[in-house]
Amino acid sequence: MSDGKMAIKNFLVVFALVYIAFVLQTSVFNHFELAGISPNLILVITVAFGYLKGSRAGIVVGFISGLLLDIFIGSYFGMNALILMYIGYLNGLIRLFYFGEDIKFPIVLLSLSDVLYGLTVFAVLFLMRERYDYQFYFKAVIIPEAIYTVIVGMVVYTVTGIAIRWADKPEKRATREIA
Amino acid sequence: MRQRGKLNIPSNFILIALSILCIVLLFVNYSTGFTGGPLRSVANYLFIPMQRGLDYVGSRISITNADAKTREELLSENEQLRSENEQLRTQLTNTQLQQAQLDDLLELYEVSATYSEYPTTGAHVIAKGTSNWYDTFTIDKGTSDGIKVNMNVIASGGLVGIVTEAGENFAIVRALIDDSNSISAMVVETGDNCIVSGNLEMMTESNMVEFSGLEDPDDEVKSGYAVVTSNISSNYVPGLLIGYVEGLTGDKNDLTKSGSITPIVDFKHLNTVLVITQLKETGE
Repeated sequence: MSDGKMAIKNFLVVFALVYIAFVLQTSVFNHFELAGISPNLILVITVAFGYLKGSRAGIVVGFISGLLLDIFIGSYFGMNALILMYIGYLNGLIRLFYFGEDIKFPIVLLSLSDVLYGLTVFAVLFLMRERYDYQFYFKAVIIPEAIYTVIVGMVVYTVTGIAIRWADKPEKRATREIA
Repeated sequence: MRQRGKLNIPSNFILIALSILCIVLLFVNYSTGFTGGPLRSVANYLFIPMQRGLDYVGSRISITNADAKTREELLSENEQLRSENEQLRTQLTNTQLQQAQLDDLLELYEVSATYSEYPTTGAHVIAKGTSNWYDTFTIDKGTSDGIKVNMNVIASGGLVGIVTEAGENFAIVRALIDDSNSISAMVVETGDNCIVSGNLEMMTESNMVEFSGLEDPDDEVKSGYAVVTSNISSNYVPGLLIGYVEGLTGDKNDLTKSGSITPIVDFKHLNTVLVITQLKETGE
């Protein structure tokens, strides 16, 4: 298969996954909030691409999905794109040091990434406006979100993994592209 | 690092390029209020129809969940509602009395109460929870229905928030409980101005928003007093009920007071809202 076709196929896979995750997150899981918290499924897609395909994929997927969040949040346009992009990149870097096929390590990755996301947003949006009670935000937002994200995220992560493998398959390249 | 293919652009390069792009976007957003522009139509045609459908399914399922209340729960809720009803009735009588007085006075001043009735249009909330750090939500009406940025949104008699972004068939509303939101408000009974701002911490712990900068030298304001949007607010039309004063304390400077307000709107179960299709005229 030509590179062009592969690129289109990869793009469609990314698009479909981000689309499903975003729609689920905003229109279904908002009816199933636990303690006022909904899971961050968009982040799961970014982590999955970063860790399973490498930092390049992580950066691009993080950027696209972050931009999508920014459109629907309507303030600080570009902030989520920036944060998620770096999270995708970091997960791609981790892949170079350790890569395991089982689900345990991605669980650690998901929770760490979500905590990192929470901390960054807290630092940018709240610390800057003199909201210093970090213990509260940890207890009420960051940790619950991480737990909820990991629980729902395991399923999303597995599905993403299958989709990525499916998209890579007909190519029959010996090694995956890693940047 | 492994060997890269010749055509591959190094990931560090992409990272730096996109970082710069993001920072530029942030600056543009900060200086011109740009929020997506043409990207919004992508959202409009791809996401809104799906969200609309799925939200319907989601809300049906969650309603069935909520229906399954026990008899005791229903009884205690009924009790609670009864007492609340009683209170409201007393309040209503008071208000009616005051309204009558006000009408008399207005007649004297020959001022017609133009802001008592605003034109509104109804809309459904179709998406929420984009992030746990913001309180913004998406409604299913946009510029094609006459919605514009800065229009006020109300529900069940109280202020919900303000439209911050309008696409063709959707609009983003920032709720008044959003941590970055602040509104110029007024205590109805005394006419004192204050600033009402969202506070994620207060909202999570006790479902309240905070107010600050209330000048009340004679200690007239008490808990239970109604707080509405003030007529000096730049984006909010005057007289929209925000909520009732819950607690208040003096500030360190001994001049102003701050405290908490219980909003009248139940933000956890917001399904339909009304958009006031009249923008605040600031005479600029």
